[in-house]
Amino acid sequence: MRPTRRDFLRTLSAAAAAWGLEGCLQVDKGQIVPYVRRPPESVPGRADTYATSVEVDGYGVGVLGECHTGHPTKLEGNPLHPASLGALGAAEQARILDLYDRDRLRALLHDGRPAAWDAFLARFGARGDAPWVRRAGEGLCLLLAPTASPLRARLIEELLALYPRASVRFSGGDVARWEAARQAFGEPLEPRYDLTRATRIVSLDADFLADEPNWIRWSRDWAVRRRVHGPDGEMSRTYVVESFVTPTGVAADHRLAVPGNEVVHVGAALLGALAQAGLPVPIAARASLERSAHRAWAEAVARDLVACRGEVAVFVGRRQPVAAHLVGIALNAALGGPVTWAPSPLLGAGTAAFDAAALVDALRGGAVDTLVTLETNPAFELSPDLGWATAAAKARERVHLAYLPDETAESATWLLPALHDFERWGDTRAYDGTAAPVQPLVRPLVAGHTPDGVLAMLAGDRAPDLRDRLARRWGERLEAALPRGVFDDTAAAPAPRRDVDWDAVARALPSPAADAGLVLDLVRDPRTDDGRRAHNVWLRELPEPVTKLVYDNAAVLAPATAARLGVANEDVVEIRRGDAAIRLPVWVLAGQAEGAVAVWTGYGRRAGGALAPQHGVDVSPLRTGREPWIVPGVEVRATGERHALATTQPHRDPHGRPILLRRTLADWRADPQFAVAQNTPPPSLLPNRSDVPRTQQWGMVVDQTLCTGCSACVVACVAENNIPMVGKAQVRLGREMHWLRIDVYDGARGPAFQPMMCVHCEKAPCEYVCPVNATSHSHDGINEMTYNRCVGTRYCSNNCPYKVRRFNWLEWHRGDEDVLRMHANPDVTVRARGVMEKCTYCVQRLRGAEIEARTGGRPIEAVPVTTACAQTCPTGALVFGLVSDPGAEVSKRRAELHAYAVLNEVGTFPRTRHLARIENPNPDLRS
Amino acid sequence: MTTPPGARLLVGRWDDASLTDKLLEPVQRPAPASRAVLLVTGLGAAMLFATMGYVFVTGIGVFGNNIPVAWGFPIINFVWWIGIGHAGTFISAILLLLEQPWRSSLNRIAEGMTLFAVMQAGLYPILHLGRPWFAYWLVPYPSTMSMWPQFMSALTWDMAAISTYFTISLLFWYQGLVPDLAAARDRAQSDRARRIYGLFALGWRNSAWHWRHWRRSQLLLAGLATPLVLSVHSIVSMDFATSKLPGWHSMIFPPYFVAGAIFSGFAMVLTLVIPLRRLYRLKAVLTPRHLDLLAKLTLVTSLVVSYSYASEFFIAWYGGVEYEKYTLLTERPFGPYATGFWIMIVCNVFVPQLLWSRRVRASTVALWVISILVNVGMWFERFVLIVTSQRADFLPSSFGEYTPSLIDWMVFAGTISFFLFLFTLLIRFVPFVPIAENKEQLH
Repeated sequence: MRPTRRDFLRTLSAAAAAWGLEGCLQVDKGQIVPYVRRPPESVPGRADTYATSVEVDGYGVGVLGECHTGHPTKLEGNPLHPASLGALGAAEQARILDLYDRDRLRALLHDGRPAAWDAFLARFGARGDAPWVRRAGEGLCLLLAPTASPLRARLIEELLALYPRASVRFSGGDVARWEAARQAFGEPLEPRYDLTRATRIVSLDADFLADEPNWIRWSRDWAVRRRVHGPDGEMSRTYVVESFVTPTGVAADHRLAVPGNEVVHVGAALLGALAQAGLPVPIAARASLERSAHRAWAEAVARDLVACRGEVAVFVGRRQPVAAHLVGIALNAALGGPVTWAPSPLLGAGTAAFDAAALVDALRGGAVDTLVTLETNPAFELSPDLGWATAAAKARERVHLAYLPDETAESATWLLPALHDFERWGDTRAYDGTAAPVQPLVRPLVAGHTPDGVLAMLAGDRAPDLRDRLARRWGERLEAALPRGVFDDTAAAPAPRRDVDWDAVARALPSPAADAGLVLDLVRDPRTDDGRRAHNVWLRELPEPVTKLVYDNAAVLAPATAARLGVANEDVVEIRRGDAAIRLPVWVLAGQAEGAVAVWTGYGRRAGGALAPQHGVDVSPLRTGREPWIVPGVEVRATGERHALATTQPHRDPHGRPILLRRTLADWRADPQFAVAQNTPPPSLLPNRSDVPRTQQWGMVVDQTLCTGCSACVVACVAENNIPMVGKAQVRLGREMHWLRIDVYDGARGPAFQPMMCVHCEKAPCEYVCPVNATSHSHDGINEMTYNRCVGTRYCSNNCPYKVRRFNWLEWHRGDEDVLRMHANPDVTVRARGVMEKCTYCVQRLRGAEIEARTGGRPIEAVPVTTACAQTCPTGALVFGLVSDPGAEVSKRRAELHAYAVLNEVGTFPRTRHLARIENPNPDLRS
Repeated sequence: MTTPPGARLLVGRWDDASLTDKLLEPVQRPAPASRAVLLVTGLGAAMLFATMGYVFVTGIGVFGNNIPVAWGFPIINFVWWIGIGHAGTFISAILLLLEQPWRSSLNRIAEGMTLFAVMQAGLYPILHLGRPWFAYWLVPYPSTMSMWPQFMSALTWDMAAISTYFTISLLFWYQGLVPDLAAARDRAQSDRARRIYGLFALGWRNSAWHWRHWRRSQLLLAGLATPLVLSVHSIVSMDFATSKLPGWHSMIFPPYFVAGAIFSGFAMVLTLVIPLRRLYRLKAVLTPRHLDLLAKLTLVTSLVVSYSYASEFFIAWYGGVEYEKYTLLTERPFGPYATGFWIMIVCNVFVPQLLWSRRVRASTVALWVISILVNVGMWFERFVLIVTSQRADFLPSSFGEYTPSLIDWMVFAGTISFFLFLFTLLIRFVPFVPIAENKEQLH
């Protein structure tokens, strides 16, 4: 029987229904009918964007979620949100992939067996049979991830009103920072920086451009003063004191490499130098200066800072102890810069609620009957000397809400599946107090709950409707806030100036440093968010900005330290402290502080999804609650074993080639035309394209002064362009697929970053060697790839001087489950094996803008469009637009004097121009 | 070429009948070893096709190639085989046109070698494609979508040049074979053999007209084949020379590649002929003088190749382009693949200098060893050319490494087996020393 059209459509819609609902527990057996009247906001084929927000370290960051036919596919920062201003980091963007993680918890488990939420309510609900229900909550203890959510605050209040004797605690938190502020100001305050007014920035071990809380906003603001338009311009100056080479250290003008435990001494010496310069700071600090090995450095920096008094911002990193934060407070106070101190928006900040040791003591004492851990993973995060596992085992019931089966889930009696950030209702609060709604981008794929939902259930709500609760919390303002993604006028009032208790500072000044031997510097890995995202392959295959290592962590050693220990790259060393020891491979890095071993934390997970336990070593055996980050006095010895590491860039010596141009501002002033020769096209035999009718012409500018290497652009590109991940073994073979990479080159003044992707050459060497015309030039200046026509000779890649082309050596998508394919951007082809691919300038966005301009009758200049990488760059180092429009930002930047064509002499006429990296070193300092 | 006294092209006393008997002997009374050789090489060929099937199904990720070294073993071996293919046509066509009588004993072996080497070479460009099932897109055929190949690409011409070369070589070889197939038919010992040889002899009746047409067309095909000897490898060289890669972007490549190809081809002829004349006791027709002449031509082409090397390095230094200087003067002699470079220099430049000595040229053992070393050296030339240029080009951030995979080695070993298999079949079933042309020597 021949199928009729109706039969065909019926089968098709049934297939579509079956596919679309896969993974849902609440299977809707209803009929699928087409829209009779289409809702005006939904246009098939066009993405819908919803404003929501996520918590990063507990602070809210506004995001816009792009959904295609109901699948969220990509995240961008919300330009209206103060913590984002449109930018988003790598780890935040990669959360979209988690939504489709095949390992996520799908059902509630009680003692390992599936159970219903009603069973949970019967036990822990308002009339539940848990013993604390009738004892005012005595024996109920909740542990939450840090949060600033107003809704959650209200739910906690409700819970505590019902169970006044329950205890609510939080994990993590910047405890040392709050404690320092408590000592200096009497309150646990947090610094707020206005870097748009800072001309001198000092970072004491703070990676404020890639990892510190709120780094996205700090990067945005830092760029305002950093960006230099011409040789007569002004730019800020950044000093960094740190052990491991962080993106902030690379972006800085001066980087002093010292082991993590010496940072406080350098800070104190700086304070001493200010005292010497006559500033009203404790005179005792001069002793620190006098015995400092970096006295000349501190004095030179202090002269510079004093000269710029009122415009200096000092950051102290979250790894540093209280004393260092006190020194930072003193420096900021003495220099009077654009730094204010305000209460933290985090719930319970600076209180005993963040005291992990107290929690463990309470557990160990048997005072806790039911321990509820909500989206926090103490079994992995707490240092093992606290003895979490044995203490937690004393609680009779261990309720754990988690997205993935993590380490804490292993011993949970009730394991509750969490909803994803994009399946939930709620709210967040940013560093400055601005509240933002959390709204779902997709109907929940599993029958889970959020911490808010669990809190409401514990407080007696049988079926919590969080949207309703949110509406009750915010009233009419919610409807106004949902489309915009922020609650207007919720930012905290500017904080008043506070007086510093100088005695507290003087007491905190460090005594002379004893020789600590080799120091182990544990460094947070911003990619995996300290291991929390170790299951996310986009982040595991994202090259670490400076070493370009993927998947593993390593013992990073300075060349001199490695030579002294007699080890080289990939040699396995044993790092021992007392009885505890870990073994991990060495990576030698110029710029790493001598006498210190830097290791990223968050690797070697025992659980937490299929990928999390793979590759890397857990450092927690060497961690203690007292010294969680900086561990002095470790022994390191070679073991003779080797362990292969994968790096995407094995060579970083520029061989003297003029590829990454860098000048100091002073040199630029002396020779303003230094880049012009490299911006002048060489003679060419190839025909010009000027005979082509000039339509709009797209182009890009990469400002290397502003690139901090944070790699947000790389993940944006991955999400936008469906870039496959290939695994460690293939990366080792040199087959990573990222279209956009951030190269790092060593130089006399330290390393520097160079974002590199297809530069869309006007006379593209790839085009004339392709035997089948699979790569060709578009009318608007894009070097295009026609995947369907590519046979895979790879000649184009050979002839590409920038080596930005990527080849599908194997079928990378083989074995993807349907649900995994749902994150793919339907506007971009998923490439099959055997074809070449590369950056397209996000051509799908450009064509969309063209259609919009044509149908709307608007000039293309009036349609806002940019590439995914440029959209998300926190510092605005990537600028995309119409080079044919002289008024466009990209045209202005292209015309600047330090614009140049990378490999200009090869005669490729790249459309993308790089701006030379301009540095602003202190003339009194030699390095 | 002046003939030194005593160096004759046919040794001994022969008449037409005895010479025919002698030269048909390998076909009629095959050496007992040939069966074993066929078995071993046939298994190797089977491995080749199994491996190719695996590559087609899985994808070329099973090779060691990567970015930046996007062309690895497949293209190295492709160029190596194509080069080996050159001496055959050189001996049979150019020497025919130049009326060099000494070619007559060698031309069938050399042409067979050419054909089989080009077959091996032709496998690689298809095998190395990301999507080999679309290889025909490189051929200019009128399609309904009016899609043509991109004629600026050297690869398009490469495809055309190699297929032309194969066709002409096959015709030339087969046509030259016809009178001898007739001889084999006439002396066949079984009915089946007579029918098969008769089929391929195309009704050759030894008439004067046949001979006249045969001779004419041989000359015509030689005339067609001669420019191909020069053009094929020139076009192969343009796969490299038209690119921008330091170490590839060079004007000298066409003549340099042709010289290198003939060099390796002569070496391969020596490698094959020396054991053959011993095994089949053919010292009468494959005389020391033949070997001497081959050795001298090997020496000459070695000098041309050496000159090309010197010129490459000189121009890299003299031209002063930073990237080229790095590739040629730092990367090749001192980089991570320097061993390959020095093997190439020793085998291609220094070892052939031994051929200045008449004693070396007279020693078959020495000649055989030298010929093998030359083939090794020429393989490393292609390795050095392809790997060192690609692994370190312009941006140091993209510098990479290259290690061939097991599959790479299996395919390479497979093509060597397949080549030897085909060559053994030739020896077994076809008079591999031309009978007719040697009989001409008698008259």
